Parts: sequence; structure tokens; C-alpha cells
Amino acid sequence: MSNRYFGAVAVLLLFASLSSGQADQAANANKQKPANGQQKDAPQKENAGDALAAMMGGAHIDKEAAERGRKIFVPACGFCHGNDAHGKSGPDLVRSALVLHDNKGDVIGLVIRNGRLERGMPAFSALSAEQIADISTFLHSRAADVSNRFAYKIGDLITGDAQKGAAFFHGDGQCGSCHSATGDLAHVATKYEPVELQRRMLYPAPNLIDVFLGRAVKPPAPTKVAVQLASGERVSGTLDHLDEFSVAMRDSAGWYRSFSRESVTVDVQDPRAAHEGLLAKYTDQEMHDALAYLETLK
Amino acid sequence: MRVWTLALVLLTAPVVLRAQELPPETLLKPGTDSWPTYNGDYSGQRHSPLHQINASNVASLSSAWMYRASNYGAAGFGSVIKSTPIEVNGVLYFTMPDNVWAVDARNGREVWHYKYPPNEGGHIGQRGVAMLGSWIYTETPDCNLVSLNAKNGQERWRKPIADVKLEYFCTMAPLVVGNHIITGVGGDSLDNPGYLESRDPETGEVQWHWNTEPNPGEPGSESWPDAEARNHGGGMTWMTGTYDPDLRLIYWGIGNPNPVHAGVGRKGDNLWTCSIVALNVDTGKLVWGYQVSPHDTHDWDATQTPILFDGEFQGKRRKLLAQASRNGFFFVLDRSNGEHLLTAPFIHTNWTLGINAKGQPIPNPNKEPARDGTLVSPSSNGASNWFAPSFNPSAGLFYVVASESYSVFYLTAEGKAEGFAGRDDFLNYPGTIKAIDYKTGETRWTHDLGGMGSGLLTTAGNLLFAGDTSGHILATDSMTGKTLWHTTVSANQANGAITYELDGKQYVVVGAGDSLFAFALAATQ
Repeated sequence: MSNRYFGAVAVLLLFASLSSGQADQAANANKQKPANGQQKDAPQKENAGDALAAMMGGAHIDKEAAERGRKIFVPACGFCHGNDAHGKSGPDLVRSALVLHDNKGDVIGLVIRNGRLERGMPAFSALSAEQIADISTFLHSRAADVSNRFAYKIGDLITGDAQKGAAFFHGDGQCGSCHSATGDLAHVATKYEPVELQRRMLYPAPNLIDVFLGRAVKPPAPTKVAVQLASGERVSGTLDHLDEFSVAMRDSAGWYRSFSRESVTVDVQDPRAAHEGLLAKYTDQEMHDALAYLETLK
Repeated sequence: MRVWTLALVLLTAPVVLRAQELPPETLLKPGTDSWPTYNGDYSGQRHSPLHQINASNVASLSSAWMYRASNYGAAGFGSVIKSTPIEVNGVLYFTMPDNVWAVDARNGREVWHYKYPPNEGGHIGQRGVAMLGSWIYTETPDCNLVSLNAKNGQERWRKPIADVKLEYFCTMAPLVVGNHIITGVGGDSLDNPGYLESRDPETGEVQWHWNTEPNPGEPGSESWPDAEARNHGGGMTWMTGTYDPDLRLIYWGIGNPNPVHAGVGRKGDNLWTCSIVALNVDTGKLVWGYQVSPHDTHDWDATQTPILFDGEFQGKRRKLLAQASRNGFFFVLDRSNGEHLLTAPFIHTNWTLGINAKGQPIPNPNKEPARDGTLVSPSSNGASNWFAPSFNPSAGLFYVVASESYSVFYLTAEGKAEGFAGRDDFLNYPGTIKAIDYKTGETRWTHDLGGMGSGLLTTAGNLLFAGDTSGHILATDSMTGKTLWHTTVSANQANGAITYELDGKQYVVVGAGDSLFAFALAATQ
């Protein structure tokens, strides 16, 4: 038995993913109780990507100015630089050092107005300072779109065969031994976006970015625990915390009780154990098929 | 007699004058009264010969002092002591992003506190300082190298080492070798090239500059399809390397290629990303390189400490280098020439087609990130990460905080892939200490920590110090992994523990949250 279930995972490894892959234990500072992975008093944030970008030092983008800039950029510049500014016959402007150093046109303004005739870029002398500033904001927004991976959209997930997925569900996956398409999983496809459904199917725990940002998340199913005391008494309840040295639970009457693990035997019935066992067994095709099947449960 | 006295005066006079300074030759053989570099010494072993605290008495280890940092300003997850303190002449120097402190190593009294102005750099963490003479060196989130007067924390100068506008950010503790300050950089969100630099300790000016991606025509340049891919190939250098004074080589773990999750525009091995490289410390020239993850698409940078030790391998005594890499494999190389000796998985992985003749894992193209996802172990967080490993030379064991994690890797880029171009959705976050036999790669024992998050320290007292993810600091028997002592602190340990002996008393110091906690034997207090 292991203590990994509740090991301060909630916020802990969200930071794993942040920035240059420098895994970080952000939750350390506020050793909040990690049971169920909920952080109820954290502030509500609308956009996880923006909030995380802000913490990473990402620039704030004026979205209206960026949209005005896009409308100028596409007809004037898109033919050479691409409508998305990723570059065509002209250079990529998304990861351009010149553009990234620009502030409201103070660097790119000269280039736009005078052109770079030796490289085939004409002068756009009719554009006003305000229009150039908007183009600059649009280009900064493109760089932010690229650099802020938490705002990336995951899509096109449903590629599997639902029939094969159903067979896996009732066969090799042994999902049917705990779940039912007409019981706990009825209409499950209407409750979650495909990416969320895929994650929960594989390992039913909340998205850590949601947890970190304090969004309402459905807690994982409670873990049942039974503790055998030295006296022979057996205490059962819902697991609250487990580590190498202690175990804590809510007993059947709702009381918090904790025990030193030196003197008791602990039996944990983690509903996620079967999911964990499957992780090493899934082929990607089985994963896609199983998701396609769950998607039929509208 | 007079001659002796004179000689004594001559010998001791300069020593007395410079007693508080840190001359470069001291770093070649640091005393047990100090921890003068990020890893304690150049080997990266984080193994101390101290044994006052040992397996037979560690049960009575108790609190010596505590220091809680304040007025550090920065918000969010950077406000945690991820830095390994250095300790020189009774003073500890450590950091958080935008902050450096000097604290009395005997009692935790604050000596000075330096604050760097608010800035736009990434504040994810700061891993520590370097010291040379009477100067402290540290990297700032917006990528300046700052030199401070160790006496009072006053800033001498700051010199840019990377362009924050391109989304570089800097977290690393510099490495001092002779008159070189080696600096590395981070930030892989906009496809910038990685590099290492040596800076002059007095002026901060560049002595040499080494690019992760080879120049056209250099060995390794053929592992990129074109100049565009090579010039935007990533390969950051964000963890402190190690150094062999006899070979005059520094060893560095290099980060992942860019765009991170999309390999289509950078077909080839993408050298020297995800590699261990050996550079001449005086010239910055590459002497050898070994790539642990050819053509990585999973963000598994190979920045984990390349630990140096001399030992027997298949009957022959060798100068060795070992890394437990983020991709899940443990590597042993001959550090004099980069010859491959051993590759062994230290977690269950599912991303390879096998191991090639050079000992490199062969990536399975079907496990590259895909639009509908691929289920991969380990996650991008890795089988190991920046948490300091340790090596116990008497046991021949390499200790690493390992994670048997899974994640679904998605490709998200529309059109041209740039930046991360995808992301992975983490599933689970286990963490254990693994003790690996360097001769075979076999795991001798495993100790569950609940998750991954802190560095390791071993000592000649047959002890290993670690932090779990339930707020405990613990000491285990380094041969068996059995817990011999633990205590609870105010947060999870976030750095690697250090140890030193002052006034006949051995201290162990860890950082947890915004505080340092020092422990010593009750009998010595």
C-alpha cells in the first residue's frame, strides 16, 4: 500500500508542467489539505491560460487593439507574412526579436513606414501611428498565443471505434465491473468535454489547473479505509489523509480521527486502483475506442 | 625560532586578511565546515563525509534553529526556497526569485537581505548563488547576472545574460571554476536557442559562449533539417553542471528541443538537445557529447545533475559520470571521453522501440504527441526532474527522486508548429526515492514519498535525507531506505538539504516554504 493517493498532489505538480518543464512544488508554500484535491478558498479565475501566463510573467494583451490590428495586418501584410504572422515569403513575425522588442510601433514603425526595399518589402507610409500600434499589439498577441500553452485548445479527440470501445469496456478493460452505461455513466458525455472525459476515463482526478485556479471541480470518489487497532477494534470511514507516518479519516459518524501507523494496520479501498492498473496496459487505440464509446453516452 | 615565527607570520598574514573570502582553489577541496557551491562540491554527489549525525543516533536529531524569510514581495509559486543554500565561513547565502539572503549558519540570524526590482521574467523558481572571493553571483528572473558584495549584499553590477523579451528566464545557480562564472539560461516557449556562457568574475563580460545547436558545418549540425529549425531549436541549460579539475571539463545536462511537442519541422536527432555535454572550461569548446533522448517530443530535458565519481566498471577503474534522466533511463558514461557504458530504465516507460548500439533509447514514433492523444509514461514532468540526486561512493548507490507517471500528450498547433505546439494532460503524480546500483542500473530499494518534490543528501553517517509531500523531513538508512527519523515542518521541503560542521556541531539545513530549518543532535546543543 502506498501513500501516493493524497500526497499533496493537488497543486504540487501542476507546476511540474509550468515553464521550461522545471517541475516545481508550488503547493509547498501553502500546505493546504490536499484530500479530494480541492482548494476551496482560492480565487475564481475565468481563464486558466491567462492567469497562469500572468504568473509566469506573460504580457497583458489588449484584445480589442489586437483585433483592430489583425484587420489591418491581414490585407496589408498577410500575403507575405501569413495571415497568422507565421511567415510565408516574408519572415515569421511571431518569434521575431524585432517585433518582441517593439512597444506600440516604436521599433516596427520605421520598418513598416519605410519598408525594406532591398529585401522586397514595400513601404506602408499611409498607415497611421495608431494603426501601427494596433498591428504591434496583434503581433504580440500572436506571440502570446504561441508562448502560453495553457490556452492551447485540444480538439479532434474522437477518432476511435465506439463498438470496439464497448467491447473493451465490457471485456479486457473490465470497466463494467464497477461502472454501468445506464447507471453511473448515463449521459456522461453531456457532462464533460472530450478532453476532460478522456482524462477522467484514464484516471478520475480533477484537472490540476482547474484545482489550482480554484474552479469548481467534481471531487474524485471517496476512498474507503479501515483501520485495525492494536486492541483489535476496527474503525472504518472515508480516507482524509495518508502518509508514511499517519492515517486520518472521517468515521461513519462524521468525526475526524487519526492514527499513528506504527500501531495500526491500514486497509485502503481506492476506487482508482483499477484505473491505475490499466494505465500500463492500454494501447492508444484502445484508449481512443473507449473514449468513442463513452462519447455515445449522451 | 625567529625564522619560524617569521615564516608563520608570512604564511598566516594573507590568510587572516582574506579569512572570510572564498578563494577559487578552496572549491577544489571544500572543507566539511562549508557547503560552498550549489552541489557542495564539483562532483555533484551531494554526499558529505560528515558522520557526527549517523544511523545510530539520528533518532535524537532535533531542531537547532529556524529562519523565516519575510518581505520577499514576489507572489505565486516562486515564493518558496527552491535554492540550495551555500555556506561559507559561517554564513548561509540563499535565494527566492528577486531575493538573496545572508543568514548566520549557527543560529539563523539574518545578516542582510538583497531585493532585486520587480520585473517581467518568469518567477517559477530560483536555485541559488555562487561565491568567489568576496562576491556573490546570482541570476535574476529577467536574466541578469548580478554581483553582490558578500559582506553587506550591496550590488556591484548587473549584466544581461539573455533577452527576457524573447521569453528567456533564468533560475540557475552559477558555477564558479577558477576565474570563470558559468551561466545557463531557461525558457522554451518561443523556440529560442539555448547556450552556456562563461563570464568574467570582475566585470561580468563574456569570456566564451557555447550554443546548444552546432554552427553550420560543425559535428551535429547535420542532425537538423535546416537553418530555420536549428536556429529555433531550444536546448536550455537551466541546471548547474559539474566539473572535473583534472580533465578541465565541465559537464552539463541540456534541455529539450523546440518546438517542444511537434517534431515534424525538425526531423533528425536535434543535437545537442536532451544531451550530456563536456566542454573545456577555459575555451567553451565541445569535447564530447552524448544524447540521451534523440529527437525528443515530450519535454524531457536532460538537465538532471550529471554526477561524477571514480569507480570500477566491469573490472576496470574508470572516471565515471551518471545521470538518472527525465526520460526514465539511467545512464553511465566514461567522463574522460563520453564512451557509453550503461543504459537501464529506472521506471516503467512505454515510449521506446528498444536501445540502439550506442545505448540510446529509440523513440517510438507512434508515441509522439498526436491530435487525439498518446498515453505515455513518464509525463512531461518526467521520471526525474531538477530535484537534486545524490551518490554514495562507499555504497556505489545513486539516489534519485523518481516518478512512475502517465500523461496524455496532445498536438495542438494549427498551421506552423511553434512554441510548445502541444501539451500533455497529467494523470498521476507518484514519487519515490530509488537507490540505483551504478554497476547494473538495478534498483536496490524504493521509498515512497507520496509525490516528487525535493532533493536528496547522503552522508558518511549512512544516512539519506529527503522530504516527502506531507510536510515531513526524513532520514533513512542509505543502504536499505528504512526510515530512521522524521519530523514535521511548516511546508513540504522544496530544495535539497545541505550539511556542514561548525564548532564541532554537525548541522543539516533544509528549505521548506519560505523558511530554513536547521537540525543537530540534541547532545551537541
